[in-house]
Amino acid sequence: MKKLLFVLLAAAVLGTLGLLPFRAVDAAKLLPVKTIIVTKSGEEYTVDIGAGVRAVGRSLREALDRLREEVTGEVFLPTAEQVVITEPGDEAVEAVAEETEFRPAAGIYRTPEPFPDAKALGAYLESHPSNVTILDVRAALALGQRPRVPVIRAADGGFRVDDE
Amino acid sequence: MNSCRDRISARQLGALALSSSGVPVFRFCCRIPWLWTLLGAGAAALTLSGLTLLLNRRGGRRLRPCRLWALTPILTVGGAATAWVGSFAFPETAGNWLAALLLFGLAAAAARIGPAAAGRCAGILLWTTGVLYGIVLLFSLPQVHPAWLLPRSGSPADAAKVWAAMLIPGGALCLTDALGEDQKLPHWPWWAAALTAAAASAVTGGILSPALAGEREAFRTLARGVSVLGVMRRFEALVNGAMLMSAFCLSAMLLTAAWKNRKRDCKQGSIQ
Repeated sequence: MKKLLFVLLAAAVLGTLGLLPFRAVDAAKLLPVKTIIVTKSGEEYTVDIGAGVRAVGRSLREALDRLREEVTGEVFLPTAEQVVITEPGDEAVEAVAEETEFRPAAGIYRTPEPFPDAKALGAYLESHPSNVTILDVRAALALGQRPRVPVIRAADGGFRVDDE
Repeated sequence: MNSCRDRISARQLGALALSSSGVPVFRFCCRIPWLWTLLGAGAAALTLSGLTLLLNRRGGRRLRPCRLWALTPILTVGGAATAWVGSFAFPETAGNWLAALLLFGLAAAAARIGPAAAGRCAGILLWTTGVLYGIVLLFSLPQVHPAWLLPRSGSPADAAKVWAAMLIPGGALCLTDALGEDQKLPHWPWWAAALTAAAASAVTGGILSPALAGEREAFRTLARGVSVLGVMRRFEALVNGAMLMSAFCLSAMLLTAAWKNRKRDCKQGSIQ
């Protein structure tokens, strides 16, 4: 009993001093993300997680860091099921594939034009999951192959997914 | 005469050995191509099985591979190193000395009580970790690319590394003195660990590709992509917990062996 009390006291002291190696997060402040839209224009990356929440940076990492700083609450990226990339080239695709914070099994898409309604896009993609994941793209890049990313286009007031 | 705390059953010792093997299997062996893992882990199982056979002979438990006083510091350092490795189980505690110290303290407390404490813990943790690792491996199978399983990469040196890593759970052999008179150390933990290592290596390489499977946190990356029946996701926290439990079992096993050895040294010293 004395030992248990000593352990509890030690835990309380370490916790008060902020030395315990655990991070507490208020669940009410969590902002789970469903769809991430990454736009690359010029040298700038824009990350949009819906509901008008977005951040800009010179790299994807910087944009994600700024997103964390600017948003009230805890942005939770590993819940994202889809990542949509708005860029004709491959740079943003590579940046997304290298970002370890995203869920490796999240679907990845490319789009030639930005869509203003991220919520509607997310709802559409949820019912049309991509057969190409971030992990597939990462593996293709590691093997020196060009990743084949499905393309989303606007069609008849909705969306259409085509293979590249 | 030994008290019941100083005794461990053969099944508990087997469970302790197998649950301890989770550290080399899921932190190291799964990053090696499956063929070399199979060869290395098979060779380690054969080595440990041979030693088990030798120790299980009548009076074989009195066999001493080297001077006992040398074993105690080696096992203690091994236990401390495992606690440090265990601190990497969760990304937020990676390399945190306090997390390692907490794990080391828990393992040392189990060792101080006696082999029975570590054995009882392993009896429960083996099932817990087994179910978690099993779910991840089983539900990852549909994502395996058969083309990535062709044995093209790796080298015999990888098999040698796997052999060395898979010998670490052999620390359980130092606890055979704690077995009852009529009990023998089983062989199944060594072969089960070898098969688990080969399966983990095949699944990791088949999903992540040979190029990515060699990454430091390959199994964690694999676990992050697992989806059970398309409904349950995000198993990584559970897998991190399983890795921590395996590290605790290995650390507790090595420290228990060190503690038991120290007591034996003292006894021998007093006799002399």
